[in-house]
Amino acid sequence: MITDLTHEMSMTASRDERARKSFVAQLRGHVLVNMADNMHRHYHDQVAPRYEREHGEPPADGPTVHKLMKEEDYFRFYSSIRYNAQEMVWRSVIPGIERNLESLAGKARSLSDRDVGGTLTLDPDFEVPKNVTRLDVHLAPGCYHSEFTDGDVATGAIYDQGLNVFAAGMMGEHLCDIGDSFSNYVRLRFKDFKPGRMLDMGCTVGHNTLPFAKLFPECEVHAIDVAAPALRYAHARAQALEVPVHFRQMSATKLDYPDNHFDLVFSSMFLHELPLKDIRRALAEAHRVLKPGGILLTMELPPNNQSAPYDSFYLDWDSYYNQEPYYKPFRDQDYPTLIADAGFGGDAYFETVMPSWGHSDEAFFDQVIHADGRFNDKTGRLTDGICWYGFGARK
Amino acid sequence: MSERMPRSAKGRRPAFFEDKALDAMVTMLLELTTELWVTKERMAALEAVLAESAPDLVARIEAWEPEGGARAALDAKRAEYLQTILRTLEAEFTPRAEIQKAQDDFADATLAEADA
Repeated sequence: MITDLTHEMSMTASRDERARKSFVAQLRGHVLVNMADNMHRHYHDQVAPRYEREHGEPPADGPTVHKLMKEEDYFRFYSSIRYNAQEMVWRSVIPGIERNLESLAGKARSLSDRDVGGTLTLDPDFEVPKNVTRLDVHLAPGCYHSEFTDGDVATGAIYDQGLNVFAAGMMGEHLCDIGDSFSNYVRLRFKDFKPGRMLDMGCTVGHNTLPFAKLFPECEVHAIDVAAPALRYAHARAQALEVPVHFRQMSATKLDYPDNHFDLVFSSMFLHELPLKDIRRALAEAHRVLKPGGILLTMELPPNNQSAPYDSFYLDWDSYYNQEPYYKPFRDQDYPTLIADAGFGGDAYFETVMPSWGHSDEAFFDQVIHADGRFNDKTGRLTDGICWYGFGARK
Repeated sequence: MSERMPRSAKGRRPAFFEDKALDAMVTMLLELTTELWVTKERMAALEAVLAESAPDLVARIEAWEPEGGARAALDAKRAEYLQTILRTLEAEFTPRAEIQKAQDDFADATLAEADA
């Protein structure tokens, strides 16, 4: 059952809208758990053995598996239902937000005045990059940047409420399980490390930024994004939740911060939305603004060179069918090479797989993040037993 | 319908099936399934709210049997409902086909006259 968000930037959905959201969330759950399991079994029992009989070896990579699966009716139904469910996630929240367009913008303005300590700095001359303006990423109508009224926050509300349906309760009340997991990873993995100033690149509505500010209350937390309406919403949301964060409209490829400025640079589900040349620029910029000894930490999708062919195919679905064309090219990279090319030293690279903070206790979490070789077919997948993947480097 | 915010993403929708009609059918079926669920949930809400003032309401609904005219009206509505849903399967076998042919002949003749 999907309930309305609990912070002040939420709004009351109609009875039918609440029913629609719950249905769509469950439909997605059915596709991503039941149908996904059946599809994997079908591949394992029939598709892969048939290929192996014909070619004398199993399919070698994700694209080969994709080519085979496209001919299978089960994949076609899985994909068409998943694609439709994705569209329906947005359709389940947009009418209510449209109805409340002005009141949400008004609420955001008044929350901005609240004495929390957060700030919002927009750049009226900022040019939103093409990877945002040319695509409706995640099939979200209007993407992150479109505006429909003065001081608009609609795309932020769409993202927050849409993610609430999309996550179906798996990311917690404030949809911040990734932020909770990665901030606690920093606390438990780098015990000597206390960030005094941090940056979250590509923060959207700041849902994964806030856990860092809460866990490290002495830390000055900055968060940037390219989309003004998402940032207005992020600022209002943080103010409502009484967490001080400094939001700024800025591209990660050209950071308006001095060298050696931050102890921690974080991003989540961000790099894979960028063209490869921008990924390289963003990582180089992260390296530049980090202090010596500072940490770069990115929550991301696991790389194809560490995934089994079927898992590669399964995760890359979004690249082909969810308007995320940079997703597979990113996953095809060798992450340690990206990090080295950004200027980090040869042994600076690290990677990690961690259990969801919200679904584990601290002792288990602590044990897992100190162990090695934890890749499995649940890594990066929003399903039962989810694990988050991340990589980074220490400057 | 005037909408201030778009409901659909930019770009081409992928075709998963060889026949694009099947892709469209999946969309229609899922929208229909969703709305049917929305209606079912509203019915549950309706029963629950009414039951607050009439505790035996759900039992009374469960036990309700239409009598006389009400039964005939429901039978007729159900027949019409089924006819509507399954009509494409019957098109060729009903007098409608004949009516349709006459209609088509008339339309063709009218258009031919206009072209001449």
